[in-house]
Order: sequence, then structure tokens, then C-alpha cells
Amino acid sequence: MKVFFFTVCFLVVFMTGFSKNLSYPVSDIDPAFCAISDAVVRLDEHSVIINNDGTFVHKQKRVITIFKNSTKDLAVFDEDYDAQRKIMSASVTTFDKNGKQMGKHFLIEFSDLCDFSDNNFATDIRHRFYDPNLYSYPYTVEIECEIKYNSLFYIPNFSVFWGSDIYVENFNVSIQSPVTIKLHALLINSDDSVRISKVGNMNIHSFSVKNFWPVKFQEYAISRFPKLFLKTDEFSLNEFIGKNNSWKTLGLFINEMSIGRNVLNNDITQKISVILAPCKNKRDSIKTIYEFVQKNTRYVNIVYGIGGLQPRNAIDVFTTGYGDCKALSNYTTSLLNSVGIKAHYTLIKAGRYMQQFEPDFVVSQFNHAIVCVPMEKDTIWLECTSQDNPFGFMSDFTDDRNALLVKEDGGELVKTPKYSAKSNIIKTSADIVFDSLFNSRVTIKMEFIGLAYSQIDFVARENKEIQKKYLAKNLNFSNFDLEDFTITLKKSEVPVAELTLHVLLKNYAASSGNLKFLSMNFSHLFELPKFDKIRHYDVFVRNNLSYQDSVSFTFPDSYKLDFVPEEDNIKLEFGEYRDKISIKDNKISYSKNLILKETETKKSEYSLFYKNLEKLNTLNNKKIILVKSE
Amino acid sequence: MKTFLSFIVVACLYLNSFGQKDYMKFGEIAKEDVEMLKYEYDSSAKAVTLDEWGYAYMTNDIRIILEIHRRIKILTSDGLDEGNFEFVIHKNQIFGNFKAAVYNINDNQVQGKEYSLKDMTVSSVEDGKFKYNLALEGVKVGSVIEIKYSIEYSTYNSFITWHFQDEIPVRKSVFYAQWFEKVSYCPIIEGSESLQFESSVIVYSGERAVLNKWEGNYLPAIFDEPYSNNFKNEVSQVQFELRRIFIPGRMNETYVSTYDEIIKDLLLDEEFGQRIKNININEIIDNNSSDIEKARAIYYHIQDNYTWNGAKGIYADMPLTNTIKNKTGSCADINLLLLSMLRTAGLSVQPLILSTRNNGFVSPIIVIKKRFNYVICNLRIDGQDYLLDATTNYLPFGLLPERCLNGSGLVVVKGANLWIPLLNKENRDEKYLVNISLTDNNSLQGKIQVAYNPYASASIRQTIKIDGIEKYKKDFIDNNSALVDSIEIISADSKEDRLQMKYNAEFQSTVESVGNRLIFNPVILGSFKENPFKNPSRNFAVDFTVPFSSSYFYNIQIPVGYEVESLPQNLNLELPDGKGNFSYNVSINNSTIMVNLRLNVKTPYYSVNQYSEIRTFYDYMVNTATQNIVLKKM
Repeated sequence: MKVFFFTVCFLVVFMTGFSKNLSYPVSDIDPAFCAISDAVVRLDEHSVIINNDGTFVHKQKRVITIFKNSTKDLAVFDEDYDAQRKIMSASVTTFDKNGKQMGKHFLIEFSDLCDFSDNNFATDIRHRFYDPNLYSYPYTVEIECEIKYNSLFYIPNFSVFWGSDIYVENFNVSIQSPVTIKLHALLINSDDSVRISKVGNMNIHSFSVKNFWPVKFQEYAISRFPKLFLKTDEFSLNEFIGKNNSWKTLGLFINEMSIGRNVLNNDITQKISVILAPCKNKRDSIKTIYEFVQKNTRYVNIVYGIGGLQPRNAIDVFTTGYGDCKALSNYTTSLLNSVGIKAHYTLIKAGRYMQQFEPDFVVSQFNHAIVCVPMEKDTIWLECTSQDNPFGFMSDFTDDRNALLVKEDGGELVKTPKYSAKSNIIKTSADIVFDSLFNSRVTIKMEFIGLAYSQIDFVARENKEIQKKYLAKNLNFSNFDLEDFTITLKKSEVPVAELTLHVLLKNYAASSGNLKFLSMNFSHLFELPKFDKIRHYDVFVRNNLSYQDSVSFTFPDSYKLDFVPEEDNIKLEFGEYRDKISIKDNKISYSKNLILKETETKKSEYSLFYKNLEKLNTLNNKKIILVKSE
Repeated sequence: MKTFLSFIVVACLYLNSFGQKDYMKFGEIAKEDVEMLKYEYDSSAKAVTLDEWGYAYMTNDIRIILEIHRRIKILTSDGLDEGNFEFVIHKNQIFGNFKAAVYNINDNQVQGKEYSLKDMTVSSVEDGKFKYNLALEGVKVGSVIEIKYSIEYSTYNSFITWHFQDEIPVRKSVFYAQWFEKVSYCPIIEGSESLQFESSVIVYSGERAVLNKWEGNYLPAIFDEPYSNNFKNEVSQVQFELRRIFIPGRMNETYVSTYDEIIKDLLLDEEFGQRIKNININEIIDNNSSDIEKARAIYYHIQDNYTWNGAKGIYADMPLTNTIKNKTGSCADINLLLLSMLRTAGLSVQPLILSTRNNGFVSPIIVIKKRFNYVICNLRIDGQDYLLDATTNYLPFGLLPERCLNGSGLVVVKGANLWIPLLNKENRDEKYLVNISLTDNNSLQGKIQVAYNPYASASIRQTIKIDGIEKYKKDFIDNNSALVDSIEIISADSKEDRLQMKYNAEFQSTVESVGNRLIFNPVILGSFKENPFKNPSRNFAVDFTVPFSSSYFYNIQIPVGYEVESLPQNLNLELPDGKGNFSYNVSINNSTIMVNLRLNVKTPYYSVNQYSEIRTFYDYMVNTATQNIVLKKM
């Protein structure tokens, strides 16, 4: 008993001795940011040490204070490894809000799992995982980790941004490289610059940011946060050697990795010659092959092979009927080439929200593969992972951006096509005859053309009940019951999704006493966003889009016209509006075209831009006033 | 409240056995199924389960084996994922007898390729589980996929649960469940689709066994709807509750058959009844206070000082002394502590067990012990019942969190079979006072004051507690559709006071200037612009969870130089049987227009048959609340 007492005493002394050494107490955080952050990154530190043999070590240390459930995931350790990268050491230390250490855990205790995410159906990538699983907020976690990579191909990029409402106190990057290995660094979206120094025969590049607060995303904006790109002139990956000095050489490397993977067998070539027999011209043949691929394959994300860079063999795709974007694009390219149609395996940075691409900094910046088929007059682009994509259609996932054609003699950087306002249209038309209560059973026709096609085509593939719920929820006609509908997809290079809606409009006209207001904003597709009193971001409108309504209203005899607005034809800096209104007896016909122009401009232009939006909104919401005839 | 439980008594024992044999033969696929282009009962289905056979049976050493055989037809490209299989198998289960095939029409003949277990990729995932996966080859629109496998379970406590419905429609699904008479289960059927049922007694491996068969045909796909509770319960399914094990000379254990027995067991259970102890509460209550004051003091003491760890269940995880020390615990830990303290104070209080909202219903008619997953306190003072759950911060005394509002709960007291409806007597109430003026740039500027009753305040107070008041204010301003400069929040940390907010908001471009008129809708707050029930028909009941009311007083200042040309019409609207009402009244006083709008929904639950009532009510409400005020230049 006495012994026990002594031990306790000793422990108490020992622990109080320790507790003077508090780490990262929450009280050290700037209170202004502490109050509004979901988490605070106290430190995000990276040190990359490049060795003479072309391997490198990436050491990370990050310290994050977690304030609530929604950011709890930031306390989780989760790092991938495979044949190309090895986790050398790692630890996770937790501290309470006063900075008293609660626990420390090492790599040996972490789970070792296969990549069990939805993204990868099958892969040889594994990961180490540890979740401290603490709920008493706030607490702080310190994560340290050292990973060794066997190729400079994997040299990482660094971004300061952790998420909106996450404050970053200290962000430091330093890269040590032997003078014999030339390292290039490119810092974007920052007024700072990378510092370079020399210690012995090592060059040191370093960059740091202090007290970074990413403001909440705003409408019609593009967020650009400081990001550091890195590369070396040369790298080797297994037996392959790559050069980053031009897109041509990088393309050569990609091409080398897939050499021999385009071989086809007799079964395939015979099959292809059979299906191509009725084709009249080259375009027809390309379309037939594309549709053959769509019909006989499906997308399954399988990441095997060197760093997930090599496409599966074309023969394997033929026999199994599946593959990822690389496999399906390589397969389609091989099929086309086998019948004498020149086609190129193509890499691209896909994404609906334009990713920043640096054409002058040659390094792999891609995340997707497609196929490019040059023609005499134009170029056909093929997206091979979708069974439904119209032939030749580039959605806003891959349109209007840089892409790397991978040719036998090297890479070539080209631009993918852009869809203009003339081809991105949402058309709405209806002939509405009101009863005395301003109800109407009406057929509305909508056409989603060009990029707008992607707003609706995925609905067409759903179960009818889900389609109905989706449409009832997402169409904005005021006070309507959706009774029946059809969706027709017209697939072409500028595709059209046609919606025919059988709708009961109820009480369409808002009233006030004896007055009825007929809104000229029938489709409600354009809406005015909230004004940003403080604009943090530059103005960005991704694509030209045109809204065209053509609607007629026939009002009941018990009403007569009280007010009819004038017609307008207005061209603004950021948009256009024109309409036509004609009246014959009780029938009002109007048509309008509202265009929001593609824009990328400085935030100083925001107030002018917003005035334009307000003007468009006012024009778009014109009203005709009717009065009850006594 | 209507429950979806139905029960089949296994009364008649047919001694003539019917075969539990698989009615399909692997590889024998009907050509018309491979040729099928559309499924005639659901022409828009992305895939359909053509046939499905399940056989769950008990082995002599009381393990359960489930065999499954299924054929799926792929109808659209979105259905292609049915060609990828992924099974996660726990460490005490055995996965086996796997066979799969893909069938397509080639040269007018059905051709297929077969797979076995060795084609699958096996990888270890967390907690000692294994993932088996396989992407079948040559799967395209039109393919039929066939799969067969078995899973062996080492435990008999929970027999298999069989779902007859899924997100794709099912043409035919047959499920056999077989167990030895020495172990008896009670089947529980749920869902609204009708199933055929047969039962018989057979001899299996030398022992008498019960064999039950359920069959469903042409079952529709099932999807969730907004404002509905327990969507998963509406899926047609059968599950089983263990009743008794009787092995002569070795084991005779009855699990549950009546609520009396459940109650008796619970009261004697080490982790339930026996956890209830006397607790020193001298520092919490004033001995001279009334019973209700004592109860409140204890309730708020636990609410303030203890944190619920999110765990449900009716059994306490630790002794009360540990709960007191750790200041955290499961709902049973916290509420049994509450009960113990209330008893120590001499109050009459009993535990009450229930099933939470996402967990299905319990009912007095059918005994499903495993479905109870939550325990609260039923306190009785002066003949009045109070239901108490101390897991949720800021919830006023006598009100339950939403998760508990699910049918009725069972009072755990010997000899009584007492069920108490789980309802909150108070409603959520919000009152708005808004002074509106018109700005030069066609906006309405509102000076807004809101007061929430304690029940409606609770969820806001919780958010403020988690986020901190500055973050709450920032989010309120950022996420508001109107432009808000700043906001004042009063009584954020109180319990029984009203929480109040005061702020100014600019509603942009809400006034239309047409000729010499100004037109605007004064109803700038609340959701009255659209009927949330857009769909003319409904599959599941509408459930708002709790009664609610809101009232809005708008005072609109008529700008100088303008006069009223026309005003909205008044309306008073009642839901049938006094379930709720809505009123809208406009009046003028000098240069002020007053609009008073009130909505009061007293009954939160509307069955599918009552759907048109609530939908029509909302229609009228929206029509009224979207009326305009028209001002004219003098």
C-alpha cells in the first residue's frame, strides 16, 4: 500500500514537471480567427530531400487544432504506399486544449489496409491509417511522417489551402537538391517568391506563408490560392527515363510507357472489319468504333502497374470489357489506328471547375485520358469512359483547355474545343391558355443545347420515378404540378436534350386586389446572386450561356390589359438582353434572349459586373398587369 | 400512428414438406430474359433482379448458413455497376461456393462465361474484415448476370434478415428459413408488399426442423421521399427474433416471448435494473423545494455536466460511479443516472425503453426485443407524466429529442404492460416582428426581431455551443439570402427563456417599379414561396416530426409621395379536424400597412391518404402569401 502511494506521488511530481512543457495550447491562436475557424492549421511543414540517385524523401509535420466534428477528419493519418513509395516512419500525437499531451502513437500501431475507397475498385496501392477518434473539442493533433519515393516523377506540389474556414498559421516548404540535379520551382497565385540558397553542394528552395485565411467562396468567382509546382529536368521510373524539358519529351515518356500495350489480335481486327463494312466515310467509321467501345465496355477504376500510369493492354480491355480512362482511351486509340485512322492517346486535366494549368511549366499536370482524332478540317474528341456521351461531344468536364497529345515522336500541347453562346442554349417554349383562376394545363418544351446538355442528360438515364422527383424539384416554374413528361436525347457533336413537360400551372399570376401580374420570367433560369459587400475573388463566368424563352399567354375575358412593358434590346458589358412582345386580343406573345457572357476579370470590376446582373434580372422579370373588367 | 408491422403466426404445421431446393439451375438462362429490352413492370428500370433464391439454414452445431442465388438483368448503362461485386466478410464468417456468370446473345445464342472464387481479389480491410471483389467481364447493356454464393455465420443469435426489395425492381424473390425445433425463432414481416407464405415441419439431418418459405413477385424498386420517417422499414423484409433454445439435458433457455418477461429480465439485469443506485444529490437539490423543482434541478444538472457519447442501446456500458467520474456515457448510462438521482430525491420514476426514428417501430402486439435501442425516464408527479432524456443540451424539461419521437415506448415496471406515446406536448414556435421600408434601389429593408420559444431555441443554442457565438453569427450572415450587417443574439445560453435575435436585412431587387407603380410582396421571411409537396401523389406518409407554429407581423412604411393602390386579400384556412390553421390579414393605419401571417401545424403526421389535405393546404397558403402590395405615385 505504501509503495503504491509513493508511486502515485512520484507520478504526480513527474507529470507536473512535464506539464510546464505545454505544446500548442489553443489560447496561443489569434482569438479573431479562433472564433470563426472550423480548424486551425498551426503548422504545415514539408521538407523534401532529393538524393543523388534520383530518389527523394518527403518529411512532413503538421499540427492542427480541431474545433468540431466537421473537421475531425483532419486529425486522421492516412497515407498511401506501393512499390514506388515507402512510409519510413510516422507518428500521431494528441494534445488537449491546454496543450497537455494525451497520447502518442507510432506507425507500428496504424492499420495497414488496401485502398478501400469508392474511387478504386481494384488496386495494388495500400495505405496506413490511424484515427485518434477524439470528441472533446477543441484538441490538437501533431502528425509527423517520412515517406521515401524511388522516383523524382512523384515530386509533390504544395498548396496552402486546407479548406474554407480553416486558418493556416504557418506553412513552410523547403527542398534540398544536389547542385547536380536541376530543380525548377513555380509559384502561382502569390506575390511572394521562392527563396533559393546554397549550402555546400546542395541548393535549397524554400517558401513560407504566415497567417493565411481563405475567405468563403463567392458566386461567379474563381478561387486561386498560392500553390508551388516543382519538377526536375529528368527523372527515371523503373526502366523508363523521362525528361521534363518540353511537352514533346514528356509525351515521349508517356508514349514509351504504353509501348506494346496497343497490340490487337485477329479476333479484334476481324470483328472491327465486320462492323466497319457498311461505313461510308472516315467520320462514319470513327463513330462506329466509338459506339462499339461504348456498347461493349464499362468504366471500372483499376489502378495497377507502374504508379498507375500505364494503360492496361488493349487486348485485356477487349476480353474483359472494362478498364479505367487510360485503358479505355488506349483501347479506342488502338482500334482506330488498326484500321488506318490516325488517333492519339491524350492526357488532360479534367474538371467542371476549370483547374489552373501551367503550359509553360512542363510537368505532368493531368488526371484523365481521352482520344483525339485529327481530321482534314477539324478534330474529333472522344470521351471513352461514358457509355452515353454523344459522339464527339466534350462536356464542361474537358472542354476549352490544354491537352497533351501522346504521339510516337513525342507530345504536343493543344487546346480542346470551346462551345460558344450560339451553341450553349436553354430554350423554353409554351402556349398557355388560362382559365378564370389563372390555372392552365400546358405542354412546355425545353431544349438543353451544347454544354447545357450535361445539366439534364444524366437524369434521362434514371428510373422514371427519380426523374420525376428530380424535375419537380429542379425546375423553377412557379407553382406547378408535373403531371407527365418525356426526355429525349439527340446525340450529336452539339447535343440536345429535349424535355417535354405536361404541367398544371396553378394560380400563375400573383394578385393584389383587382390586379393580376403576369410574370415574363417564365423559365426562372437566371437568378440574381446575393451582392458581396466585400468581394474577395476575381469575377469568373465559365461559359457563355443563352436563355431563350418563347411563350404566349391567353388571359381570360374577365380581365383586360392595364400595363404592357416596352420592348428592350440591350447590350451590356457582361451580358445581353432583347425581347419582343406582341398582343392580339387576349393573347400576349413574347420571346426573349438573355445572354450571360463568359468573363474572367479582376475583382475591382465586380460592382460593374453586379450592376449588369441587376439590370439583366430586372429586365428578365418584367410584368404585364391585368385588371379585372367590371 | 400507423405501423407497418404485420405478423404471421406459425400455427399450422404441414407435415408434407415442400422443397427448399433452388428453383433455378445455374447456367440455364431463358433466352427471352437475355433478349429482354425493357422490364414490363418498370420500363425505366436501370436493372432488374429477375430471380432470387435465398436459403438460410441451421447446422447441427447451431451455425447459420445462407445460400444465395440471383439473376440480374442489366437494362441501361447506369445498371452496368451490377457487374461489379464487392463483399465485405467479417472475420468470424466464411464466404464460399462462389460462382458467377455473364450471359449475352451472340450469333442468336446465349453465351456465358463462368467465374469461381479463385477469380476474386481478396484484400484485408479494417477490423480484420476481408473484401472480396470481382469485376465481371463482357458486361454490357442487355447482359444477364448470375451469381451464387454462401456465407456461414458462427452465431445463431440473429438469424438472417432478408430484403425482398431494393433500388432496382425484383421480379421474383423466394426465401427459405430453416431451423431445428430445439431452437425457435419468431419471424417478423415488414413492408407493404404482399408475400406468400408456407410453413412445414421436416426432418433434417435426423432432427425435426421448421421450414418457412416466403415469396414475393413483381416487387417495385423503392426510393426515399422528403419528410418521411423510417423509409428503410417500408422495404418488404423478413427478420427473426430468437425465442427459445431447448436441448434436453443440456440447455433450456427462453429468450423472450412476452413483455412481462422482458421487463422482469431487464429489472434483474446487471446492466439495467441493477445499475440503479442511490446517488448523493445533496449539492444538486434544495430539500425544501417542490417535487417538480427538484426534478428540474436534477435534469438540468445532468444535461449541463454530462456529455452523451452518441451511443444508443438500453444497457448501461459502465457502473454509475464511472459515468459520474467520466462525465460522459451512452444514453443508458446518462438516463439511468438521471433515474437514480430522481429516485434518490424520492420521486416516482421508471425507465422507458423505445426504438429511435431510424430504427423502426416497436409495438405492443409483436414482441421484438432487439429493436429497443434507447432508454429514457418516465417521471410521474401529481398524476402527470414527464418524459425525460438528459442527453441533449438545452432541451427544455419534459421534451424529447427528435430521435425519440417514434411511436410508443414501453415503461419498464413489473406487472404492467404500459405503453406511452412518444410525443412532445409543446410545439416549436417562432415569432417575427418586422419593420419594412422601401429603399431607393428597389429593395425592401427589414428591421427584424425574432423570438423562439425554449423548444425552438434548443437547436440554435446547441449550434451556438458547438460553433461559438462569433462563428454562428458569421455563418448566419454568410448564409442568409438577404444582406445582413450584424446580428444581436439575446439569451443564447439560457434554458427556459426565449432566444431572441435582432438584425437588419436588405432584400435585394424585391420591389418592382412598373410605370408609376411600386409592386412588392411583403412576405420576405419564411418558406411561403413554393409548395414543398410538388408531387401530386405520395408513397410514404408525411411526417413533420413535431408540431410547429410561426407568426409574422410586418409593418410596412408607405414611402412619401405614394398611396396604396391595391392590397392582398385576407384568408383564414383550417386543416380538417383542427389539425392546423393558417391566417393572413392586412390592414392600414395612417402611413403603415400591417400584414399578419400565422401558420400553426398541430398534427405533424399525415398518412398517404391524408396527403392531399396537406398539399392543398400548402397550395392555398402559397397563393395567399405570394400576393403583392401595389403603391401608386400620388
